[in-house]
Amino acid sequence: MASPPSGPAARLPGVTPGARPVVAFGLARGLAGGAALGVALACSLVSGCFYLEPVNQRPGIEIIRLAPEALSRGGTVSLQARVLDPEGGAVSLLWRAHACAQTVAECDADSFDTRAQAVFEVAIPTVTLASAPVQHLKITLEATDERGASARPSQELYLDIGNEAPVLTSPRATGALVVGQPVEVLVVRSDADDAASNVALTWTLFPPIGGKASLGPLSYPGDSDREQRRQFTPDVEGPWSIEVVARDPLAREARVVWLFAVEVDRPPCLRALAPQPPAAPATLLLDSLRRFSVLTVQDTLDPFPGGARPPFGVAQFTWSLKAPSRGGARQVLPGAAGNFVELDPAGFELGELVELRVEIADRVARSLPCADGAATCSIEGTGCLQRQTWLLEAR
Amino acid sequence: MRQRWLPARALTVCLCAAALVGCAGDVDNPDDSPCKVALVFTPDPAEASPTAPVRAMAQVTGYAGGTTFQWKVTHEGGDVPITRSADGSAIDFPVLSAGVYQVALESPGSGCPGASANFNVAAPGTITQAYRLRITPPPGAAAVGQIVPYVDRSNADTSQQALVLSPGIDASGQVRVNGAATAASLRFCAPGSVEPLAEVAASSTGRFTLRLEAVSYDVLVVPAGGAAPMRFANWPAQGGQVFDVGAGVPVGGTVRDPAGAPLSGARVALQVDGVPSTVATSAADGSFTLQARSGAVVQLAVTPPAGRGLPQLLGTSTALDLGLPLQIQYAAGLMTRDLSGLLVTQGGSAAPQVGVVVVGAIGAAASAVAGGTLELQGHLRVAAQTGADGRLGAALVPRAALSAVLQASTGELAVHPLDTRVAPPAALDLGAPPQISGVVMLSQGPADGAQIRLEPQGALAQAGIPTTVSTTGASGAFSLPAAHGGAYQVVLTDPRWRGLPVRVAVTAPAALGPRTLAPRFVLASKIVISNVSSPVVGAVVELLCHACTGVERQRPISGAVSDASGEFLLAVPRRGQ
Repeated sequence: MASPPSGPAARLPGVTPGARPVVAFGLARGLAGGAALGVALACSLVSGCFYLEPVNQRPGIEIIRLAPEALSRGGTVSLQARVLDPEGGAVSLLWRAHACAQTVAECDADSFDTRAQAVFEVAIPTVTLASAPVQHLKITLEATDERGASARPSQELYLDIGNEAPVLTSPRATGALVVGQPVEVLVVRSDADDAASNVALTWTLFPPIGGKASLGPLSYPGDSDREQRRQFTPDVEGPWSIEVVARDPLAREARVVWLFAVEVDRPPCLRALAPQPPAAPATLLLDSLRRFSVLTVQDTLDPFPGGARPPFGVAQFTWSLKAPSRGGARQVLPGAAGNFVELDPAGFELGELVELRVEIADRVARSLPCADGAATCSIEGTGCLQRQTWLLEAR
Repeated sequence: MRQRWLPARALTVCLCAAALVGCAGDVDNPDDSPCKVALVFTPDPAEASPTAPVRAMAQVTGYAGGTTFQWKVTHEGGDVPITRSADGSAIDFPVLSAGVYQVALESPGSGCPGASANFNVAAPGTITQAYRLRITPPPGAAAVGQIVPYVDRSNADTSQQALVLSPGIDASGQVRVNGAATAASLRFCAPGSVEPLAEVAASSTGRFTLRLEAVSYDVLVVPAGGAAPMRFANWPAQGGQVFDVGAGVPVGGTVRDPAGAPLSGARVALQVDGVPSTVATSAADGSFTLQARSGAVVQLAVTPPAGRGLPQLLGTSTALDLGLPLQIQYAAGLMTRDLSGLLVTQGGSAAPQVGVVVVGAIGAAASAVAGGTLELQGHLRVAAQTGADGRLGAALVPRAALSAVLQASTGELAVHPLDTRVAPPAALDLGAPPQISGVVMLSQGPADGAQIRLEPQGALAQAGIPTTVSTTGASGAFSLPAAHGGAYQVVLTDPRWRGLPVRVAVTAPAALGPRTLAPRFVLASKIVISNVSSPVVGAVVELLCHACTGVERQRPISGAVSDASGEFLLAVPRRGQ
């Protein structure tokens, strides 16, 4: 396989590239009127006349590459013709640009751009006429003077066209990273010189030991060519990862790896309460209508305040009361499903000790392992509490 | 040092604006750069209007080179057109609507940091509205909660400077009664206020510790045992404080029933100048002795023994002399009636295990005499339950215009007037539960996920029926069972604060139809701790009314939780719409 000319000082047959930054690719000069000189000489020898026609010399041309140094598909390159006509006459120029595929031998026969100006501004196409990615350009320049003499040889310039690598954003997940909960992952691909749809993505999910989940296709109406989604439902806790490889038509790659931890759904935890219950047997005074609130609940899926949209929900509250004046047994307050209750001391006897209890739950049904007499309770035996009790003294 | 542009008036305006509404600030300026960039605005945000564009000016110090300025102004997510001054160091931009205008400035090539500031523009004709912000840091945070004033001057989206929480100090101490350590509960309030800011329990050693702001508090100490609670005014939070409360002043007296006979088993308590006494229980001869603090305003409360059909008593006076025996006498005309045999039915059948709570208010139910005379109001709450035959056993109640609240074990409720001055009805029926229905709307359509609270009023509230809570689906519609004849405040709220609560007073059954949540604007701010300026994550911020009393003072209008940057968005009522 022939190696393409290397730019920016691209190879020009028969000439030596000039110095940068203005790169001269050659100046072709010749006795454009050599045949006429012969005729005139023969005429003088045969007829004895001494009139000598002026000799029209061929113009000389040179291609100067202006900018930029690195070329890419979809970009532009500027070239300038430097012309020397020995007679000082006008010279007509003809530029042609041909797109080439993998080698300079695979150039389109037809040019994709033709101009006659001194400066040739070429918009580099992304594909050849045969839809192959453009990897080289062939530029030809012809010059003809007023008397029809053409520069010899015409100039040819081969330019290397680079290939930009695709770009991937880091994967962005929606959903909770909890066993059994579907996770949606989005990456956005782009490529400076390829259409996003021509950049192939390869997704690979790496579950931890024991994991069997796989990635499934997912798309939403309105997704652009740049966006690609996958979904999966992790089935075990532990470290997971997803690798996404983007490959453009010329096999340039970009790779992102997203490492993440999946956990099992843990019980919710009471966080801020108002007022904060003192440790039993300490009491709070219920001497006026008071509000008892759970301000925040920590939970992966069902916190409080709740999540804005699925799969996130909101913690569930159960309030109960135990007071001698109400039979002495604990009574769940029916309908009190909010994060607060308000108690009026007028509803109790003076000096009566009242237990107000709140218990929280998430979407997973779990029973609390504690006796009714326990003021607090934690399913996992940690500081993560699902029960709290205010001991109140009505005054 | 080169100072690019700094008219004194403009700086004054900016500082005023910052102080009033936090217009400036958020200047992104690393400490290690000698170059400082600040933004100043004119006119005052409250004076900005479509006819008077705002001028923002760059103030660059600590940089001597030439600078180019790149400005960007955004409002409600869109770019605002700007007009640059000749040297680019100032811009004019129009303020066509109220809200937050975010102004960002970059000076590339100078090495100077960028700067940004929010310019709050008030809605035309805005009258200020005072609120309070209650900030509760998460458990374990090195900060103490606060209630701070917040004055809305814009009635439009606004950005406020960070709310700074104090790390507080470890306040500790011990509670003693006549020198002996005792368990107690302590309530810390702002001076002159009875609203608790913090509460803590002292152990049996009398010792307590908690984090408080390094300011003064009124501290109510409620010792366990027989000593009277005591308030310590203007206590400066510190360590090592001893609260020795003493036993208090003994207050004695007697309680007598309507017939003038001693009433045993009655519980008697006082609040003197808002400080509760101990609770005494009357002996067989009706006598009692409690411990109280001296003071001017005396509130007396009496709970009669169960089963006597007597109401609780409550009254307040400045005429009582607690140095004299307190003679409490139920009104002689307060006759009782026995409701035994009263049948409760549901769907025509006897309803067993139905709770019946008879409630009502009885004027002049008793009097208290100690030097002066105090007329006491009666508040009745007698609870009973039907037996297997659906009938009540013995249940004495006063003869008065009362109400009966029926509650089945399955939750159905009913409210019936019950006039016991005449013969009571033979039966009360639970009936089919009526519905309170409606549709919660936002300005843009149905409010999915809205919350509906049925707050019992009147007899239901007196009977201790709790608030019922439900959530709407996508249609915003709701239909909740209620008590037939029961009065409610229906409170429509949105946990996501897309609109603010709407309250409607109804008597069940009721069809509210579509109800649109109240409009709001958004207050953006953040919470930091003063000594380290680090953001407070997971703090709860609640908007409270300024002038409310009672429990309304505790009920939040809206709330938010600070995010990982300590920032929060709080909904505030938009007025005049």
